[in-house]
Amino acid sequence: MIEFRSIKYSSGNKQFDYSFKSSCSITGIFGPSGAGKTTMFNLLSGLSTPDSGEIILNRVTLYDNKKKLNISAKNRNIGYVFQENLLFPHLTVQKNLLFSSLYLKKNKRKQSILLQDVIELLDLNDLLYQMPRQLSGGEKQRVAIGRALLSQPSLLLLDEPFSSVDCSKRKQIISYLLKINYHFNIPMLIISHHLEDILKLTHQIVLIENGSVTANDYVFNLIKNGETPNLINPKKYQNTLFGSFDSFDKNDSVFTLLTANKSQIKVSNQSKLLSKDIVKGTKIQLCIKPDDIALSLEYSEEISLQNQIMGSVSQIIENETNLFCVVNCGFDLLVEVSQVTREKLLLHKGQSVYCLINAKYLDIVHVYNGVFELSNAYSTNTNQKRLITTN
Amino acid sequence: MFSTYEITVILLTLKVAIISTLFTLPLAIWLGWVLATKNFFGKLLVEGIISIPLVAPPVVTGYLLLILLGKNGVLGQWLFQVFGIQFAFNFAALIIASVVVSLPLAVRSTKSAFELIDPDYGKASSSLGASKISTFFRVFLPMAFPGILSGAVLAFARSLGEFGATISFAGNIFGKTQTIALMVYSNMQIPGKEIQVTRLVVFSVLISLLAIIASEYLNKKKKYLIRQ
Repeated sequence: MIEFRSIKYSSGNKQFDYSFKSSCSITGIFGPSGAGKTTMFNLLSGLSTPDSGEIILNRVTLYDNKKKLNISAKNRNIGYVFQENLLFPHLTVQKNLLFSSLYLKKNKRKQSILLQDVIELLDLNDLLYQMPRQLSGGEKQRVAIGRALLSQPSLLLLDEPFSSVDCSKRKQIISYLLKINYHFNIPMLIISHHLEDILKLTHQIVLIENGSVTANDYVFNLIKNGETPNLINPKKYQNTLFGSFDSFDKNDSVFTLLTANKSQIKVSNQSKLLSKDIVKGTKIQLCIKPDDIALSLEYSEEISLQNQIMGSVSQIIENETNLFCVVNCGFDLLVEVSQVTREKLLLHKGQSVYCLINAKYLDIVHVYNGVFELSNAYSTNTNQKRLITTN
Repeated sequence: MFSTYEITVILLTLKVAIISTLFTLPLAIWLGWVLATKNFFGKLLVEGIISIPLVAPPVVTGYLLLILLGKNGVLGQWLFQVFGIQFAFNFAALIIASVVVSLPLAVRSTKSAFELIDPDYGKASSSLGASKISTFFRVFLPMAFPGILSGAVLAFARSLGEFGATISFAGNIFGKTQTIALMVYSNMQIPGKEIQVTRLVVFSVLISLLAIIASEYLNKKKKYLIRQ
């Protein structure tokens, strides 16, 4: 658990004031440029010293101005992946990865994350003897993540991990981060300007504006409660759902997944993340935008859309510009509707509807290496990682 | 090709250049690092004092050294009376003169090498568990290495060609303090020694040329290495 208790910090004429708690396995830090996101990371990692307050990580006080306690950056045990990677340019990838090993022995820190595991997990095998200047943006980012992991951190900070990579590589990095989070069980704080990217990793958001925390909740809750801050555009929301692989239809090239309540979801393999020899029961994380879902009052046989998921309207959210329905299909889906649709379908709370989803619009975020008990979606506050067996 | 006298002088010159470079280098690394990364009161003055030998006539530098470290100098007198150490007109004087005149060149090179490095690499190193000293030796020093080497080459070349400060502070004693530059100067005064002078001049020019080429090459490498 991370806790900032009335942390105050000033730099030049800027004042920062942070108070928040997070116990999520992945927490997204979102806010405009210059709001103080990186400053918060620097304070947490010990690279900057606050003026007052307390910082606590996993019940260990890292900073307390009243007790005059300030654990130095090198002893905080926090992995930091910087926005600019900051791979040491004079060292090969392997030497970058092993940079912290000297200090682990000195500090007698237990090495639970092994080099070989990191190499395999982040696909770094072919890069080991290359110099950082020979790597692409995505490869550098992977090495930087691996280097931070090998310092055996109890918390991983990632500052804009997607900034130096293109759209397709972003997806890859997201998948790697989910893999790391599952495999090593290290909590992560992730800064990103892109809400869509954060929402593929977590729905727990700490919103920072003008140097202070203005919201700290699940985005879904913020939208549902109508407290959506200006910065969070509900249109950029990503419904996240989990399914376990059930079957593959060769004719349509469509994969069928089962949700926690055993309803079927059909997904086409646009991102090529699914292989045809996938094991039955493999957990798959999907996402879909609210405006990629249509609503119908009846099930239709004569329709080309592959998914018609039954649910009931649990809430209608209306603000100045948008109209959304929360549909409970065993898991909550946020669906954007127009005023015309609302009137035409006479949408109201408790009404039964079918959510129509094109298999192509379901974006596969990550395929987990293992068979899990499925929880529904991020909207519930339960931990998603309830493992039954792994391969 | 070279006479025994000339070989003695060449060997002494190389010995002085090597030893003075070895003394100059740690000083230049420390000063370069401090000037590139720290801000303190009087920084400009320190930079100015280090650079004096670069702009002042070398004879003036030699004279100042004589006033400071000569047998009757401000510090030299005390050193002689207390420890019996004498610095002027001997091998030590040669080294001191060389270090003083080559230091500004070496410091400029090391300082610019350290300035090119993004200080955030220090943050990355700290977050990986390294102390400040460890970060310096494992991150900043290797990254600045081509610049440091370039500074060493320049210091070596400056030492080889040193004349004014040496003749003022160390004298022109054959076998003891006479270097190539001083021998060329002495032989120029004697008719019929033109061939000797030419041989030494060609040797000096070649060594200097090699040093400049090496320095330029290392400077390019410095920027290449730091670029990610």
